[in-house]
Amino acid sequence: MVKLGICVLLLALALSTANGCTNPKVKSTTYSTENQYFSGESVFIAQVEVDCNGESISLHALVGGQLLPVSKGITSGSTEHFQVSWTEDHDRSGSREVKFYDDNGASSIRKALRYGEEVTTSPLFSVDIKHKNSSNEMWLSPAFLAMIAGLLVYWLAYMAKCKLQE
Amino acid sequence: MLKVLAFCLVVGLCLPLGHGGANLIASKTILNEHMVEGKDLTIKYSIYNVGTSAAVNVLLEDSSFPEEHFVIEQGLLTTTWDRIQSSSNVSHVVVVLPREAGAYNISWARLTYTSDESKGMTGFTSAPGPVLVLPFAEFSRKYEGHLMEWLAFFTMSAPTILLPFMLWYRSYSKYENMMAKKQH
Amino acid sequence: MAKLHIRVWHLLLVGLLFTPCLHITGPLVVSAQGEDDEVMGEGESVTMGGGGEEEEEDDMEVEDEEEDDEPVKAPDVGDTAVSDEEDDEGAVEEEEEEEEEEEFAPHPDCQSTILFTNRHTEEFVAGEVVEAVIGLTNTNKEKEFIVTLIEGSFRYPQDFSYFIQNFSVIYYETYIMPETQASFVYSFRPSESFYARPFGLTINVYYKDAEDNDYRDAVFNNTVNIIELEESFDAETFFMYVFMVSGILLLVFIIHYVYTTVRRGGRSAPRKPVETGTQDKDGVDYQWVPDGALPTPKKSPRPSPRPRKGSKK
Repeated sequence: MVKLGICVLLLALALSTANGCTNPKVKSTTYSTENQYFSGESVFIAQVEVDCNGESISLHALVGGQLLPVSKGITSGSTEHFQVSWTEDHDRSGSREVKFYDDNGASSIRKALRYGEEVTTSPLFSVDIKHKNSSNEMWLSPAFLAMIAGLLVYWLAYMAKCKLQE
Repeated sequence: MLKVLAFCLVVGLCLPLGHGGANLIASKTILNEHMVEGKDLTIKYSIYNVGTSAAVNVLLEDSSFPEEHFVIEQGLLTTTWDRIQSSSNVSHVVVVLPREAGAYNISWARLTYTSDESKGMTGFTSAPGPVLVLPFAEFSRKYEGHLMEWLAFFTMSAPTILLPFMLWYRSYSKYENMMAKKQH
Repeated sequence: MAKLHIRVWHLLLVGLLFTPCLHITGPLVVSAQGEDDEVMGEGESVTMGGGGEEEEEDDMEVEDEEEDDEPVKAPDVGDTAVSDEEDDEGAVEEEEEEEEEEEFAPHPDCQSTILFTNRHTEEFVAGEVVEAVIGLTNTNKEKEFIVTLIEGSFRYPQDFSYFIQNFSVIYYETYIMPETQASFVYSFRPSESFYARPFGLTINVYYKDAEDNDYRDAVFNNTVNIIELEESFDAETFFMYVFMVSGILLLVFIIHYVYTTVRRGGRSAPRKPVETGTQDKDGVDYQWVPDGALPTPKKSPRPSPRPRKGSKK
């Protein structure tokens, strides 16, 4: 009887640890630098709220072939808040995909990256951060265009006047 | 793509902390070129572990953006990391919006962590210091391209140019027609 | 009797004559400038503590961008950056520096580390900002330290007491409580004219304790390499090439022009038919005079010829 009890207990333990998080409820918000005036580098933030049936998990994020650490914020109830953020130069537009893995997934990815293999594990969930590289400055300043327009008008008038005086 | 901060650690004349512990140094910088009220203010925290062992249970707390002056747009101001390995770094970004224009003093954030030998440490990030948040009107006047203003200007000045032009053109076209007819 | 009416353009012309007297000097290209643009980390005095909840109101030490312009004396290895500075200044500087260096030493309970965050190796690009994060740990259980300022400088690699470029001093006035650490950001920019040379870089942290004893810690005191900026497109050189090409074209044009005019044997440009007007002995063109009014040969000795009526028109 005791043995059975111990077996059940061990099984339960095993299941709970091996289960990880199969069906997380995820809410995500993202941010990326839209206006270059307000940031010297392009910034990407993905904030997620994960409810893993009350389980406490730790996440890792795979972004562009690199494993980034994910920070955990305050826990309210069963929902845990996580954040991944990084900075880049103001280069590319386009969305960035952030894939979230738990500890096991992360270690397998680390192994794959070390040996240069392709990453095959599927993430727990993934988030897309849309990014548009925009700057406040226009390519051709309006003042310049205004000057050109003014000169054009003056030139046309001058031509007409010369014609009249001929 | 991402800046691989595989940094080179240089220790000066001083000895490293303890015997093989974690040592976190952190910088808190403002990435903005211009700080404008109601617009994004981007703060980047970079934590570097220059010690010889991993830092565990790292807690970053930043209380320098009180709710009455700043709206948190994105990012967590209080956040933890399980481990920061030695010779590695972590970056964290928070975006806030200043509610009003004026001078603010952005101070440090507090870092608490445990080095591998169960030694608790408290550290402080660098502080960006006093910053000036511009009112939106001033920023718009100085830095933004004034397309709308130019369009308004041309719309308003168009009558003074177009009206005489129309008058002239009317008589001119009539004259041209007359000359053309006469030649035939 | 034309009076001399002075017009505005007379005055402008006279002013034009004086333009050679204008002596506009640009910035001295060679003298090193102690630049420091992004001054991160301003001064403030805040009590920091492990359990301290209080946040004192800050006496902000407004950051000062002190630009010490130090003259460059390039080691004569055939460098292009040559300056003509006196030796005296360098010698005086040396003496002062030596005095100061003897005074301050680091405190054993304050340990420091430095990390260059945007350069991987100790190679800095001339003209680009280098950011360094400096961490100071107070291992003392009772004493607190106050970090006053951090300054950096480039020195002659063989002789660390000779300054080449001084970077701005950043004032903090930050307390480091016992058993805590603090980090500081110091960024500087090596001047654009220094490259392909090793330099000695020294970054000093000055701090004091509660009894006003001063300490100085040379957080970084090594030789670094400055490499050249890899430029993708340099407007300056591009327009220089444009200027050269246009100069050559102008020369070709002038030669061609002179050549063509010389060939024709004429000194000046081919002549245009110049309108000279009608020429007559009396200055009278008889074409225009109607026939009736022409002076007739003296046939009729009439004393007063009446003006004829009926002119031909």
